[in-house]
Amino acid sequence: MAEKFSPVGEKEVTRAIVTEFTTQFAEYVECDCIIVGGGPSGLMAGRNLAREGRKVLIVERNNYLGGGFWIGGYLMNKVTVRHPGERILDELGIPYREVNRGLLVADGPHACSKLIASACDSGVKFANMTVFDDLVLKEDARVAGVVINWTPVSALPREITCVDPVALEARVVIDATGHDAQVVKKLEERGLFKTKGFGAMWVERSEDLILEHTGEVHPGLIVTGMAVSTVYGLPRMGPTFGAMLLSGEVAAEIALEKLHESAKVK
Amino acid sequence: MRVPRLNRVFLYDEGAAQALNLEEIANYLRKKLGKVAIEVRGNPFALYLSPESILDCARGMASIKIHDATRRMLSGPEPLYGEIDYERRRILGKTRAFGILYDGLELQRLFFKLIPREERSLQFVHIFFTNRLFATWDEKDKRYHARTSVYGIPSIISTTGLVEAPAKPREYYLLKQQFEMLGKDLPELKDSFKGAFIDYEDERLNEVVKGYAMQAVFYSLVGDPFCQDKGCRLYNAHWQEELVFAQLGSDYEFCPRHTKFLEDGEWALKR
Amino acid sequence: MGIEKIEIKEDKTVRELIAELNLSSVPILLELEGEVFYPDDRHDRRLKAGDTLMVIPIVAGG
Repeated sequence: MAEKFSPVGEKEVTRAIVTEFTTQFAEYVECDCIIVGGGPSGLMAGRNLAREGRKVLIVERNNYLGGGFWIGGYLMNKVTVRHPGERILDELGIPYREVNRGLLVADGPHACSKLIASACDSGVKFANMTVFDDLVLKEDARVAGVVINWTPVSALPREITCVDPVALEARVVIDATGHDAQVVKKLEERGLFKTKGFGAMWVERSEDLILEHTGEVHPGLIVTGMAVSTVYGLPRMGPTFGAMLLSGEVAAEIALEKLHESAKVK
Repeated sequence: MRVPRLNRVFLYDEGAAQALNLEEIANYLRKKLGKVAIEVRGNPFALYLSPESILDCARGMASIKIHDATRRMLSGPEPLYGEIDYERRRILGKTRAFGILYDGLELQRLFFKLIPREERSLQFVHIFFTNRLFATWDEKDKRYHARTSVYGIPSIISTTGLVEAPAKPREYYLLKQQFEMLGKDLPELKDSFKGAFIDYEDERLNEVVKGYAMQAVFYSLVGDPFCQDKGCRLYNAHWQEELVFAQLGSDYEFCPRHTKFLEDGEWALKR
Repeated sequence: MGIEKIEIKEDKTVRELIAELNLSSVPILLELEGEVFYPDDRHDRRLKAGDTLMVIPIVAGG
């Protein structure tokens, strides 16, 4: 016998979407952590924070999550991870193959899907098609949240849009925006920071250094992933994702410490 | 040529490659220098730096990074907290991750402060072994050049510099460019040049470092660490091919002049 | 340039000596009375006639 869909009308469908969305949005106007950028490092950081019971929102300007993790170099959809990144692949249940000493290859779509699913399963919530517009700063210049708007709005000329953004508050913000380091750049615009711009390619060294430099760059703001490279002028990386995943993990650990510290102060 | 009496040689591990065996280097120097005492010290920061000054030192280290090899770093921008924290962790031995390029003369100046005042003399040879990569400014072509070593007080030998500073064969760089364009794996490229240059985790590293340690010793003894003889361990190799030959491939260790100098032994402090 | 011994003929400061020898942009250490130091750490140190100073050039390899 053919499946029969329940007789729910159009308005019920719309009401369901609106109600669920606005309920969640209202709830996430204030979080423990807002992560700007839904690529591999942002997803890892969010997943690990949420697994510890923290309230995490990831802001992503695209419709899709995963950033560049769907595809390796030159549009070829195999992603590489160097040792010790296989620990994360094992944790996420991503199948891979060792093609050379310490070099592992996985299917981009499979790896990325697993990571997104894991973040969702952990309780991370997402605001996709949402662009980061600015920072929320408190009196002592501490980062305390983000200002966001719809991506399509920001793409239109200012002359024909006058849609104000809205602000969300968080105790910790993580910049996972990749090369652009957009969140840190907002601090730079205000003269509160000076990024160094990423350095020349030295693939063999870049991943170690990204991991070493992942951390808090300004009170309330942690940087992770390729944004670390931009902030500190580190050597550029090739198309490999181990450091992105591990950097996300480190960012989550540091965010947890900061959240713990700020709870103690209160 | 001035010949101070050599009293003692101190070897330090400032986060050198893990493959480096300082005891092996020390034993080699003992064989070559006979009466001179060779002492292996550990992390120079741990020996001399108080917990309070570690942060100051970390800040100093973070300030001497080279960001642009074509711009002389006379006074760098204020280092970021993350950069200082990385250096602090390095100083405390919590990480050996490397990949930053430092101004070699400024690095030597920072290390100088770690040497006790009473040991700052040419009678003592202080050699810091590190995996930090450093460069010195060349006024002629107005850019920084990566170095294997810098000789002074202390002398610094970089295990990363031994890999990166002397140029590899031309063909390697041309092929590397092709490999990068095609997204091919670099270990495959290195395999095809196996043995032609010193690489990371090279089993020949200790043997190579022995020669550079002797350069530091000769610097103290005669003010010149180098020799023009390509087969002498004191040869200042600018190409990997030269380095491999001087340190590993030559029929003799030191040229006749330097061999005689070592054999004379007049340079050792009489005990 | 190797290690050089300089006999000071008349009183002057370290800064004056370095300028005289045209060594201000050359990386060197100095040794005086058994103590080694960077010239710009002791710019104003007075050298007396009769002092013997060692000029130690810093050398880079590779």
